[in-house]
Amino acid sequence: MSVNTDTARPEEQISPRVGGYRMHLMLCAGTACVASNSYRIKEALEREIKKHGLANEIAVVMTGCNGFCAQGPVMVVQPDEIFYQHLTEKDIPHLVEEHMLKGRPVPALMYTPPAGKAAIPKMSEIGFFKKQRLLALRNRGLLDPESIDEYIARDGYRALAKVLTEMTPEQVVQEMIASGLRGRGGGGFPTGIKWKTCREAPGEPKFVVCNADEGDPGAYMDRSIIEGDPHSVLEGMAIAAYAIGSSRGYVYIRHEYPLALQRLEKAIADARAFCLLGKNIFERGFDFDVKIHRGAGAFVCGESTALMASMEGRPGEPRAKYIHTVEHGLWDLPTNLNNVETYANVPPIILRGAKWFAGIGTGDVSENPWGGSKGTKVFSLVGKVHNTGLVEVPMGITLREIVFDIGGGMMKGRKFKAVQTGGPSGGVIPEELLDLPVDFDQLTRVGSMMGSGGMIVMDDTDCMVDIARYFIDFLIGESCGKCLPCREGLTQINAILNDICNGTALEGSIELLEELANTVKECSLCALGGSAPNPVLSTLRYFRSEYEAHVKEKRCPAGVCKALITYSIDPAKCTGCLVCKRNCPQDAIAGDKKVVHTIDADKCIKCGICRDVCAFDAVIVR
Amino acid sequence: MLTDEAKLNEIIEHWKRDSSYLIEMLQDVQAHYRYIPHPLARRLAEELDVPVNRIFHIATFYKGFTLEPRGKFPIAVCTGTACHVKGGTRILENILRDLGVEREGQVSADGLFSVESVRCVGCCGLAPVVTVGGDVYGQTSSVKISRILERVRKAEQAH
Repeated sequence: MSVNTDTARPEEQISPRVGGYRMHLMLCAGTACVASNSYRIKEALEREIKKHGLANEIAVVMTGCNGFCAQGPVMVVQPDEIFYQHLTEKDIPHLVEEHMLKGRPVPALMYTPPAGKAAIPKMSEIGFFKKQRLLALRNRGLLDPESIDEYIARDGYRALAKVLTEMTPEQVVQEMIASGLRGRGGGGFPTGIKWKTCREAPGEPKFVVCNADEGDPGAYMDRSIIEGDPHSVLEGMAIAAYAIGSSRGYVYIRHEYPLALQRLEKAIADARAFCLLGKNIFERGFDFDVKIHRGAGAFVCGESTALMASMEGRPGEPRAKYIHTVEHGLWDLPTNLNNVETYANVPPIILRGAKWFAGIGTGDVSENPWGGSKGTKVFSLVGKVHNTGLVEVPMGITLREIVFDIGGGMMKGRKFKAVQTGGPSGGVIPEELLDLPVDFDQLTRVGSMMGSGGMIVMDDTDCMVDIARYFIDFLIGESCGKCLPCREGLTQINAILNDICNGTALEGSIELLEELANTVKECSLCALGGSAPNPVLSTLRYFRSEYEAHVKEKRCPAGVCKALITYSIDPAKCTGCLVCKRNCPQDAIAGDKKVVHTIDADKCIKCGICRDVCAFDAVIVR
Repeated sequence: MLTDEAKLNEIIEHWKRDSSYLIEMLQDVQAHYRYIPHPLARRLAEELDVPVNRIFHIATFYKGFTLEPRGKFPIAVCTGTACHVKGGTRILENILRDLGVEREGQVSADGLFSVESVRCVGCCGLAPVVTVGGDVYGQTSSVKISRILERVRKAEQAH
């Protein structure tokens, strides 16, 4: 962690449960770890703990997402902060006996770095966690997300109490402006300015809306925050409501996130029971309540006007934005819309002050709220790196630090090619820009964007034309169809990209593609269309030669585009183990035990199964 | 099981006949029937006094709705970016072939499965991800999924 002289950094305080029990087993119950059977691990732990008569000494706590998702199920033993990963039911009896009973931690279940030999016991010493700085995720892995008591014990709702008892709404707005917090949903609009405009807009009632319709493929920050710390979002919304003068809040959440939905519903019910939502909160005459709206799967609903249309029970089609939603939003009334991560950042800013927050990050926001990027950002670091998961880092950290120090470098020793940020509206960033400091303005300058925080790392086996086509195909499905440049333009861009990938593109296709992309960018109605060509333009900017190889040489250098590749077997590496032959759905592989196999190119449908199953890396794609 | 009409009324009353919750009502209908049956879409329009085209506009606009029945165990292949670069799209093609169906959404001959691509389940750290009947399988592959499907088929035959 970075050097900090503060004594009470919230991210370093220990769990409030410590006291009654000698040891806490903080077992991750985020979606990824649940998928890796963490609830069965819980049962096994409790069974063993009971068997050894330790039930009064050791508690198992199901926490929100720990972030290190690829290693799941993960568990942190507190107070020693010992990190265990890839737990299976059969590890548990040994683990409980050794560590919990005899006090000897088990290195075999700890994290070992890709190049290192020794296991690293402490969570904070693992590269993945070392450079992270937790503000939005300040309670990560430290509390039971279904317990409001634990949230309160970690200073929860203290910021709300502070604004209601010590600050005027104007002061809250000023504090937010001074902090330099910019919207974490992607746009990077200064949160304080938005609150101020909404506060001053005529019309009653006003609404506070939380955008939890995380539609970016490859990103799951908001899911993790709601699953792991739902009260932090509710508290941020309540503070926003006080600042703008609203009493009604809504969370618009994807229905694909059942666990987040369930925890949010519980959090709202608990907050009502504690009078932290409802009438006359803290007896200050402030009323605020929150309702949930479920999304139904539409990427465009992340756009503010589309989101509000959807909340009114209509199809999520955007309208022209010269009328701002802060003035005419939901039901044509002033509406403040922020993203989950933005709201989660609000309570610490109120408690620790704008100055503290503005001390983290890049630039200077004292004169101009757009003058820098302050605080931290949560990224979903995924793709071809060793350590995939959710990371929160200070603004201004370099891409190289994220990919190589936190991510632990590339998988299978492959070569780094690019990192994609900003989802379908963003772009790719090549190797020569790895030392770029990550903030809103730098990412935009190089043709990508911050977006909501997806960061997908790609290696030399990823084809940039295929990636561009992938995003355009996604956006065609998500375009609402209202304006022509987006609806027809994207379809034509896709047709050209398909030709390029199939090796049927004519000379001049690349120039045509570029012209069309720029037209769609200029002429579309909303931000979805306006940013839709970015994946094409940014891959063209940095990887034009790869496009040219497809068009001129009919070759896919990365070995992805099916029409341009063939599968074969490297006789030097093949051991004749028969595994690929057995798994080939087309019977296209010939060979016997210990005899080098061959692929019949006429039968091969290029499904890739042989390469997946080969343990010797003997399948060549060219 | 409740009759169609009674179940629909229950859903409408749950949302207090408020047409701004139309999307939620359709989600509940879909959760119950695994698709939006045409007659119920019409009934819903009548009950809420909204044009029937608005119901179909919504049901076709949002990706979460389907107007045709799905298999008993719907399969969702995540094709979010992280899953795409780790071969999610290839897994989808291989499942389509495994089930012997031509397109997404089509039910397999035995009625057990239908497969669809979804844009991000939100477990990107576990890519590639496939869900079968709601169970999430991470860091998976075509071969592993085909074994899971075989297991489901056997369990169903044993019933």
